[in-house]
Amino acid sequence: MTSKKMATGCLTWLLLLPSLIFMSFAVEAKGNAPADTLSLRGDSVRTASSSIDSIKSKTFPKFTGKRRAKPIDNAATATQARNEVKNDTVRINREKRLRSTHYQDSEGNLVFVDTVTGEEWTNSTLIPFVPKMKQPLLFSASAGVNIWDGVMRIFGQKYGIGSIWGEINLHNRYIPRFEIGVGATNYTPDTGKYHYRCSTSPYFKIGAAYNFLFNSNPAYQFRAGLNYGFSPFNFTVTNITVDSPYWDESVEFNIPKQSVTAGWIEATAGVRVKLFGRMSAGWDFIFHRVLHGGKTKYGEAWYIPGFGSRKSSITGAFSVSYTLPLNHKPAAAVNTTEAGTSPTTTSSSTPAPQPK
Amino acid sequence: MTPSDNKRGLPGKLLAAMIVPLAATVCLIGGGCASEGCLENQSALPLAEFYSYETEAKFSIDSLEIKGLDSPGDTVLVGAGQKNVSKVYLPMRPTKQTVTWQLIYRAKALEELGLMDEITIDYSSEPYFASEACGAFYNYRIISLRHTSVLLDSIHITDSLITNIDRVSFKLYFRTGEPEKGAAK
Repeated sequence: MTSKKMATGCLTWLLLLPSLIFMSFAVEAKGNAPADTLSLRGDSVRTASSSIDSIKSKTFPKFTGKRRAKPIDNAATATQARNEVKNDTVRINREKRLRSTHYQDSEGNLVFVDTVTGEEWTNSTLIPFVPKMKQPLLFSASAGVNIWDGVMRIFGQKYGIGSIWGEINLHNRYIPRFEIGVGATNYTPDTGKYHYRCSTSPYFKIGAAYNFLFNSNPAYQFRAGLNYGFSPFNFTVTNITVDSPYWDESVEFNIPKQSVTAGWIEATAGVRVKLFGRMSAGWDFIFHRVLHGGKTKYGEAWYIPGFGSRKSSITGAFSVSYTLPLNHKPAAAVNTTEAGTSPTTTSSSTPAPQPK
Repeated sequence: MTPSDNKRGLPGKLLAAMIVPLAATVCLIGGGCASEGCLENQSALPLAEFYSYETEAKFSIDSLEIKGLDSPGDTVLVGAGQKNVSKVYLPMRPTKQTVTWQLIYRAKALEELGLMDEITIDYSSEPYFASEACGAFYNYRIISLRHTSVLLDSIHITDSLITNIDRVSFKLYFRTGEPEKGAAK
């Protein structure tokens, strides 16, 4: 029976041994589970702190040099950073916001940019107006007759004849001009104590005008200008009567013919209006001043052809002129076929004077 | 614009852009050019002003008669009855080259003595045209000046050219009183 019990006991251990081995593996596998991690970490911390304490207890030489990183440059590292962030929209939008919000284009316009959407627009209220030359360089040529002196003689002026002038209109803006005329006077004052005569003498003016309405309808001009004029002329004063009431004496004498040349400068401002076809009319207000000449030992000339009375500082001009268009753009076509309807133009360009 | 528009617009254009401004300019210039008259004399007149020789201050005289030598009808320029005469215009003779002025002292204390000074001026005449308003006349260039010294001590000529400009040409210095002899000692 004893051997039988021993055999039974060995068999039992043979059956239990695999079970125990399996259970020990199961327990070991269960130790890697998260539930046991906390206890394992606590052990690790304790182990690490004990290691730090042991390191602290040791003495190391102090590191004073800079840390050096040796970059590795190759084709991959050059593009690696960009490739990594190329789809990073946060970074892309931030970069867009940091971009300039406006720039000036080739035409001088200030263009504003929406930094998020990239949309661009021009704020016309902030654009400085830089007028362009709408009209060609050789815009027109004009010739006119100044009838101011003739008109003023009706109002009692005692001198002057008239003048003709020519001018070239550049861009409908700059207008160099030349004027040639004649003047004369034959004047005896109401007192009758002398007779002043200036024979018909020429005068010349050269200058330029500026049309302020250069980009508007060329039929209208508002202009200011500057001219220099000069005139060679002669004058005589005859039948001069000098009375001396106290001495009861009277004497008559003459100032002989005096030949002089006088020059003056004049500033003008005025308008010119197209009347019909190529005919225009205009007037100028003139402020002028004698620069040189006109003086003799017998006194100063009273009348200077083209200038007028030497003492006067203001005068005027009234001209009727003919304008010849040069190098014009085609005028806007006018629809006048239907009566009672307002005419419509087929072109947006500024209407130019219509040649007949 | 249609032709009818053009016809209708022409008077309006002329009126608005031409006639109205032109009329305004004519009025402006007409006013500006209107003769203001002659602001100076209308002939060359020398102005003589009286000064005290002692004090060199301006001086006025009572009972002084001034007349030109050989004046027509012995006409006086300044009568003896005029009070406080301090300056006088002495017109030149346009037909002559010399003129003499007599200064006759008519004060009671001096009249009995018949005291008188004479000023003689030699000059040349130069035709001159001044302006439309002032006209033409002679300017006078003084060549020499002589005078007696009864009460007239000296004459200072400020400008030898006599023109129509209203300015003093002669300063006549009169003896107004003897300086006190004891005052200097």
